Amino acid sequence: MSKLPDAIPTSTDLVRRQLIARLGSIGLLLSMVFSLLALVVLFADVIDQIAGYTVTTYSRDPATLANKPLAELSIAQLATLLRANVSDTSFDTFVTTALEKKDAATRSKLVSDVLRAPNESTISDIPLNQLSALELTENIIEARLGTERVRALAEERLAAATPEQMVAFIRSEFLSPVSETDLTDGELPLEKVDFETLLTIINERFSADQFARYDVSELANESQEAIIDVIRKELVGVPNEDAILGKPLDEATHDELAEFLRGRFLEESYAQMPAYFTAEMTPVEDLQKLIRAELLQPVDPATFSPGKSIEQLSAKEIVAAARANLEPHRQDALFAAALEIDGRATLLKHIEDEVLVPSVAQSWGLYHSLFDRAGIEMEAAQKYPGAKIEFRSWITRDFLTNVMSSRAEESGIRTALLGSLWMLALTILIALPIGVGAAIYLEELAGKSRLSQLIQINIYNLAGVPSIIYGMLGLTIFVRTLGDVMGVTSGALFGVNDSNGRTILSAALTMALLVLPLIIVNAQEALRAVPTTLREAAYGIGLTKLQTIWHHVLPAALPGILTGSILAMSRAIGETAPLIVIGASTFITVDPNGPFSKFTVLPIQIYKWTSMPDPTFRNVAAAAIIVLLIVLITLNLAAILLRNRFRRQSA
Amino acid sequence: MKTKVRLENVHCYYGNFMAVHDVTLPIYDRQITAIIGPSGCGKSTLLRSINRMNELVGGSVRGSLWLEEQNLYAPEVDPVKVRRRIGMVFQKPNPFPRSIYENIAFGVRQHKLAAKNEIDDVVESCLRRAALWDEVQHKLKMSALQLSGGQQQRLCIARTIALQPDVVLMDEPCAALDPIGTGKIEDLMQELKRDYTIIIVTHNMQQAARASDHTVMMMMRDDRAGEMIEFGETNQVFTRPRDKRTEDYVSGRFG
Ligand SMILES: Nc1ncnc2c1ncn2[C@@H]1O[C@H](COP(=O)(O)OP(=O)(O)O)[C@@H](O)[C@H]1O
Ligand SMILES: [Mg+2]
Repeated sequence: MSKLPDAIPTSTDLVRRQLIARLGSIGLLLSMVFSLLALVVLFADVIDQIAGYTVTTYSRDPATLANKPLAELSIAQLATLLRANVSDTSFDTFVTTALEKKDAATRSKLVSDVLRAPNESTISDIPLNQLSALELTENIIEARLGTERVRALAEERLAAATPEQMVAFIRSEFLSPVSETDLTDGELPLEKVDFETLLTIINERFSADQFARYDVSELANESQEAIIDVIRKELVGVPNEDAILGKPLDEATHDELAEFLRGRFLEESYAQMPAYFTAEMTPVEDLQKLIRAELLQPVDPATFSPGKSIEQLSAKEIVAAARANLEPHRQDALFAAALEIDGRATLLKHIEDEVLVPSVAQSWGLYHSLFDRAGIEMEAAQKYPGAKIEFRSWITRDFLTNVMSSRAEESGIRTALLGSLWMLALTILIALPIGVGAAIYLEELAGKSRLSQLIQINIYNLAGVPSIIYGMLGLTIFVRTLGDVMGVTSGALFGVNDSNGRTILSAALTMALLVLPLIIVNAQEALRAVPTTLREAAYGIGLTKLQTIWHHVLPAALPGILTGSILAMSRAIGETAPLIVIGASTFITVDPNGPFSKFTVLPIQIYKWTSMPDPTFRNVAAAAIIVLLIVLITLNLAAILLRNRFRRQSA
Repeated sequence: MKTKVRLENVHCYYGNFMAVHDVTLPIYDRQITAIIGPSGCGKSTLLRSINRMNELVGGSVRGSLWLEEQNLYAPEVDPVKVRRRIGMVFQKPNPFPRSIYENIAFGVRQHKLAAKNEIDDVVESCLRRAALWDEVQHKLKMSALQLSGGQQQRLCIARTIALQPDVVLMDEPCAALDPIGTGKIEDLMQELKRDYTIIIVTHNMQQAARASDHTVMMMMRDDRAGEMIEFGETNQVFTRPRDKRTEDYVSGRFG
């Protein structure tokens, strides 16, 4: 029988107590609401930035690139277009990267396909001997060997032609009877043609001799009838042969004739004329022979790559050899075949990125974009007429896989993400064994000596040291002493890298120091939570202390240790200050590939982007923040799940 | 009757505090010896000093303890070896958080008591001897923590006898069990008695009277050190106690 306490609270006391309790709980609720609110605002702000309408302007109008829409061009045409519009170096890079996706055997097959004597059918759908001379010259020789080749051919013809041949050609070209229909393209009679067209006819058809006899500017003042008269007199009927060279053609020398023809057919300004001339002056069989000799010949691999077999060539060497040793049409064929490896979409993307060069002129926030589409469209139409407006999310696959760039819309976090992961992996690899070892020592092996108590207090204190101090420690010890001087963290000692100590390894060592107290304290708690009965059971079956720890205590504490380590990892991945101090790079386009690489990490990348002048980088930074948050939340979730499983198991 | 374990003037200490004072006692081979007495009188301390478990929690011993002709506290003796030969079952069932099979196989493997291909047989025979085989033979891979309290305790006993000890110490093995579980453990003890020497601490007078052959009665002195006030055949201790305090205690007039 227990007695009631002497002083039973009076009802006013009770009311007062309840009031205090209620006020207290309201206060707690408010503080929780406040922190939640802060979190929501933060998230809302970040999310507002990661998607929304953007106006993209191209530095070149896509419509002017080709005479057809890009979508209708073949891969070969697209490749030629790309080659014509980008620097040789970037074009070669595209081709090289495409080629590198295939192994040496496939590459060399691509090359030998181009080197082989092409089949007639690859040059022309219609057999060569069914084509006219003009078709052979224009569609095949000019298209494949270039205008210069045709011009040279025409010069050759001109030099080789006999005067008789030239006279015959001039007679058929310039001295055949001309009817009125020929002059007006069918709009007979001349009376029906307007004044301007009549003048044009005169300007186009008059020979030098005729211009000498008439003053064209005066003719423009004459009546229509007068002009028609002039045209009928001078242009209709059989032209006067003597007027051409000022004497009968049969008396002209080879040179005189050649000069006349060169002036009419081989001037730079007449683009199609050399081809026409060549076609008219060359027997079809000769043209066919020439095509077979120049286009249907195999290229000797030895001239393609002197001194090396094609299999031995790297992708880069193949491109260089092609540029140096192949005719233009074979170069184009090889490059097109190489670019085809990447596919049409990639090719179009290259053209968009490198030739059209899009840039985001303005972007709007997500909420604005969702609720005021019309307003945005109006504003965009006003400020950037004709520009493309589209809804764009800044978190894309490309964003994850692209390396850094000075242009926001091309920037990605690949290097930063890889850097973070590398650093994280190394950090945990270093800190976990040391931390768990220290915890085991302190918890299981060290007695309650004064020294171990001192160490314990130190560890608690270290957990509270500002992270920038660790950065300075890391700079002095890992970057300068171990790195620059001793060459351990810079990798110089291992012959990996001769640069400085600002490597992933230094960063990981610094971070390991930073998270070590966290890991030790967490591991100690986990070890302490292992029930004594389990230890007794182990000792009871005759296990030594170390066996007991290794086989029973450690496994039982493992979930707790891992939970603590994951939390430590999420601390490490978010740390910025110490890494800035030890000198992480801010602009890196090469993937980190080992402990001795230079590196950057997510938070530093975000920091860098938020301080860029171009406002578009703020969207990119927001996207990176989301990625960082996802990594963090995943880590914390893993920790919570582990902890829950652990609780359920021990219950 | 052969004496298996001999305690001679054993004093147990925790630091400077003397928990047990001057116990001299023979433990007979293949007999069940019960230790009874009120809480805190040093029963567990005495029991744990027999397999040198006490020194793990800061206990020390003066006097000598003999397992047959071996002084257990001789300087050259490895306490780990002692614990292997003198097994222990605890108050709260404490199987390893592993499978039933692994609970028994672990110690066998660790001490290389059987070849790899014989371990299955050892597990089976130990579970049979602990009267657990019929209940668990189809779920050997199940976690031991999923067994009932009584089953767990029998598993702990099986785990102990798997190491073929000379002596089995039991510290209130039924304290956490219901009467059915308790009954099964008591039956099991009678079974095991044929091969093992058993020392059991119990609070349950009926249990001591029913199950044991010899009984040790302990009592706390005024300085809180425990001492043995009576030792004899169980029958004698319960029916004709020599000490008045024993009589009061066993008849429930005490504590
Ligand atoms: N680990 C320990 N450290 C210090 N004193 C202990 C420890 N374990 C038990 N004791 C003390 O030793 C005495 C005997 O305890 P114990 O052997 O557990 O008694 P019983 O098992 O008879 O209840 C008690 O006074 C107890 O407070
Ligand atoms: Mg006890």
